[in-house]
Amino acid sequence: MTQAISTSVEPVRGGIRFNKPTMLGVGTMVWLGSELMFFSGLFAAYYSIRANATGPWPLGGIKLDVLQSGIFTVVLVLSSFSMQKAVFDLEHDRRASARLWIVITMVMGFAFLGNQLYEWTHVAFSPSTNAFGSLFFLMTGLHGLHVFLGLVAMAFLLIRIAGRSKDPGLLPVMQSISYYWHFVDIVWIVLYATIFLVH
Amino acid sequence: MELGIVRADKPSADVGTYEQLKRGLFSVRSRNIVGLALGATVLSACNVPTFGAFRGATTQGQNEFHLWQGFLVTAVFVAAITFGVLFYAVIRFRRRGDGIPRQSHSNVKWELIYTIVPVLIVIGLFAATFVSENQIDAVSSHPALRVTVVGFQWGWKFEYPGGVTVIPKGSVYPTLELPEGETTTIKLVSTDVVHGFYIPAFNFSRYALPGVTNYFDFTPTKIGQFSGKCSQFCGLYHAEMLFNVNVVSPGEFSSWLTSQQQKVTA
Amino acid sequence: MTVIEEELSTYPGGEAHHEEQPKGLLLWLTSTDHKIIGKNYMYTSLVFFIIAGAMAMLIRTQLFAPNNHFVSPQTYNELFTIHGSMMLYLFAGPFAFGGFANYILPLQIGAPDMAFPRLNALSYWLYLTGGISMLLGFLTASGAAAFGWVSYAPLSSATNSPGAGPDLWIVSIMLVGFSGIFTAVNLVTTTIYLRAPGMTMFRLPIFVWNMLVTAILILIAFPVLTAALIMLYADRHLGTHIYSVAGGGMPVLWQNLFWFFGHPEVYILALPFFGIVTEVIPVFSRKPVFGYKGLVFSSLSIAGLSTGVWAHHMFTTGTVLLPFFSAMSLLIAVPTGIKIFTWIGTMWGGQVEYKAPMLFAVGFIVIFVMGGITGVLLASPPIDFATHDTYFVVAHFHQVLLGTTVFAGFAGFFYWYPKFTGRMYREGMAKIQFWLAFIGSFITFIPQYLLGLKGMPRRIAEYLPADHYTTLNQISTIGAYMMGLAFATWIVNIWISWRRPIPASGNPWDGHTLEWATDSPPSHHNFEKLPPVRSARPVWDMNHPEYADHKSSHSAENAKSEETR
Repeated sequence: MTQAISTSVEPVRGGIRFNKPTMLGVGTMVWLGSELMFFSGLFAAYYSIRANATGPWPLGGIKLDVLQSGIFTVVLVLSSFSMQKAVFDLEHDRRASARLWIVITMVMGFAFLGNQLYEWTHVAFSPSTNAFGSLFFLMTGLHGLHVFLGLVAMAFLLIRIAGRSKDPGLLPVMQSISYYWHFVDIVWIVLYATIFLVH
Repeated sequence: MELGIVRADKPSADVGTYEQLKRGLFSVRSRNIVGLALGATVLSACNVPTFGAFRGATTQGQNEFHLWQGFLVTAVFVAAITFGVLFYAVIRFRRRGDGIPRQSHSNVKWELIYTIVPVLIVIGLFAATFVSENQIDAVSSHPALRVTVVGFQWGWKFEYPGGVTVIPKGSVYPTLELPEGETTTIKLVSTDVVHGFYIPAFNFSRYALPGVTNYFDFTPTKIGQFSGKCSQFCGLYHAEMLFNVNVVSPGEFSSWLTSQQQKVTA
Repeated sequence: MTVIEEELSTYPGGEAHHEEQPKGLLLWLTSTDHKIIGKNYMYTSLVFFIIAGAMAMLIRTQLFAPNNHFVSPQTYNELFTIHGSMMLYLFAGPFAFGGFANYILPLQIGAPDMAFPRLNALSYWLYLTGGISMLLGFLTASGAAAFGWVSYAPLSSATNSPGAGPDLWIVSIMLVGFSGIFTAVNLVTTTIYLRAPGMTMFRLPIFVWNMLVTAILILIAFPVLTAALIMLYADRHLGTHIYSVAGGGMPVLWQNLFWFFGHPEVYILALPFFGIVTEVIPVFSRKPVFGYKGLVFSSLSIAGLSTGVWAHHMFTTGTVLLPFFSAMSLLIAVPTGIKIFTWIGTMWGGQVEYKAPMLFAVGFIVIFVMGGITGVLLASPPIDFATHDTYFVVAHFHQVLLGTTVFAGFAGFFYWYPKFTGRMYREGMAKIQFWLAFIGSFITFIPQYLLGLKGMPRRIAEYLPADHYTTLNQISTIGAYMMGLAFATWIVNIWISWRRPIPASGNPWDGHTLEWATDSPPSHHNFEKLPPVRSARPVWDMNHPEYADHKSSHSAENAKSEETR
């Protein structure tokens, strides 16, 4: 570890490196570590309350549409692949293609959020029904907020790609947003399995 | 992902696997090793000072007191060595001129000593703790008396068999009556926020937690009056959430309980 | 400063990405320079320290006599809540992690600035906003938060603690938490990416190592608190049932989540100050750090163990596995003990000079050893049953925290004061401050240990004459006033240094690490030239070539093994 780190002694500000993470990339990954702990806190709450519950789980005989959410889980997973395609395109300076794939990613992201909103308005319980309802809304809501912020970041990315052609900071930003997007995706897979599947 | 929680909705004696684990760990052989550490502690009980602590007016409290003494003796010993070495260095090596001392970076022998010796001390302290906490935490399956204690903002309610209930009256704090020499199991609950059921002279406190029921035993060894307090901050009048403990002879206790039960039925 | 010109390498980076700076107030408001942000952090946190210290004086005044009505119970509860919250969230952490780390860490690794200067500025502004939010609680109709710095559910619910004060408290802690997380991201990335040539991981000053470990702990602990606080806020305002029994929630969940943050937090507060002391003691002993790798290892193991000890705050809940948490908590004394002996080992055989920084460092060791040993007692559940939530615990953690944040903190403050300001402080006044604070702390806290053993619960606004707590409380209060006087001395000292400056040189202490290789205060881009880094003490090597670390056999072996690896 010492060696790997100490080879990069000279400050690299926005320099493009293909073979190792940029400074922004390292910072993003370190920050995503803290995001992981944030969701761990929520999962810890979920499993603690579940272990403490008397009677069947989910509380109060709540039923969820596993299939519909499953379909949109697949959509979100696919959006990770389209995002990665956009990264590869930008690494080889195919800007037009990169923009197209970011737009496709955003469409899938908004589709996921749309379904989320539909579910929120159509389930037969609310955050104040019981602890399961509270956890359902808080966890999907906080995850949804992360998805939304990712989409906002992508919108800014689209504007930046349309900007000046020599932009050394562009690729690190693109890569960092893709790290974030993959992370949000993985969190959802665990979240879906936790809330919808494991009963 | 359970956050290390063991649910305490039944007496801990019934928590199967954990109890088995305890028994398995504490086979006869390990008991002997611990016995040495404890033996020194218990023997010293008469000669060692109290270090400001209560001697404990229950068998459980006395058990804790002996552990406390053992820990304090160790603490004094460790502090004496640490401060001795520190103050020696402070005085002996103060600057006397402009010379540059030998630039020593490390000394593996001493580094190993000050790593391994603390580990051994910690193992000893843990062994003594383990034995003591199992005894203090043990809940009798056939106690002489069961009392339910309810903590609320800001007072205590004591419920005895036969519908006898003691609550604060005006500015008079409630009194918990206990028989001397007999084991009482306390069932502790809270109706609102977290409270701390604390009897300093018994060397014992336990949270009254909403949603959790706690059980523990007292076996008083001394007749007398003791003060009880709320130790966990519980809001505006936390400081005034007091109670008294009155330990009486078993005979006196049963006549008191009978008279109270007659009042209930009357 | 004796500098051997030909040994200096030119300094990479730096000048290119710094433009002309604005002046005056605008500079302070808009700067992304780590030195200015670091100073902002330090001044702000010291203001919070003085406010929270004044609250402590009020608390001690209330406890001077039984049945005292100096303040009302409600005011008293607000005072100790905000005293604790402010000292822990707004002073101790940001003072070291936002202040010292921000200013010193880039200098010590030879970097021009932090990795993300604008994120760094954002951290500070989040912190300031959070701090002000907490104070604003006093202006609300319901008063400030009054549920203790631990905010136990369900006391912190909307029913039991209504009003905007508690909400401001929650928002405040969240903002400060985000600020800490961003600073942690910045420090980790800076340490990974921006080290000067030759600055390998095992040549990092221990201060940098400890900040790195602290940053990792912040990244582990603070997000969990954020999650817990969001759920608390939702319970208060969105009608959720996470911490309420009514809807199937769990009040004790709050304690688990809070202490999963709260105990690492203790080390988040302590480790930076351990790092400071490890910089001060070698310089004033004219020796290298004794057992460098042992210190690194002990910091790492403290971090590892600290994530598995949280439930020792919950022994009396009856809901946790006692043996596991007891064993882990006892075990954490070992790496802490290693640190104490390496500090003594550093002084051993040295030429120890007791300037104010060194005096404070030794004072720290004395107080910290006492607080640490009483901490070992509390790691044993039966002893905790007898003393939990009493003044014994209050005395224990005040000795630990006062020892680290105040004594080690002032060691660092006086040590780097010439670097920050280019001026010297008044040595005599600093020594008066030390002795007042040192003796005052024992007069304050030894009686509190005894009060705890006599069964005085913490956080009580008043006690009865029949409790026989009066005399000990009065002694304790007098000690607290002595400490108050000590910090008044400090303010006067700084004021004198401001009005009648004595200029300080670039390296007034014959320092060891890179921050002493530049001017005091350093220029905007930190270094003109950088000495070669061949050991953990590049400036010492440069100034004392005949005693240079890289020439001694021990580190020569190290260098060889590093090359072959």
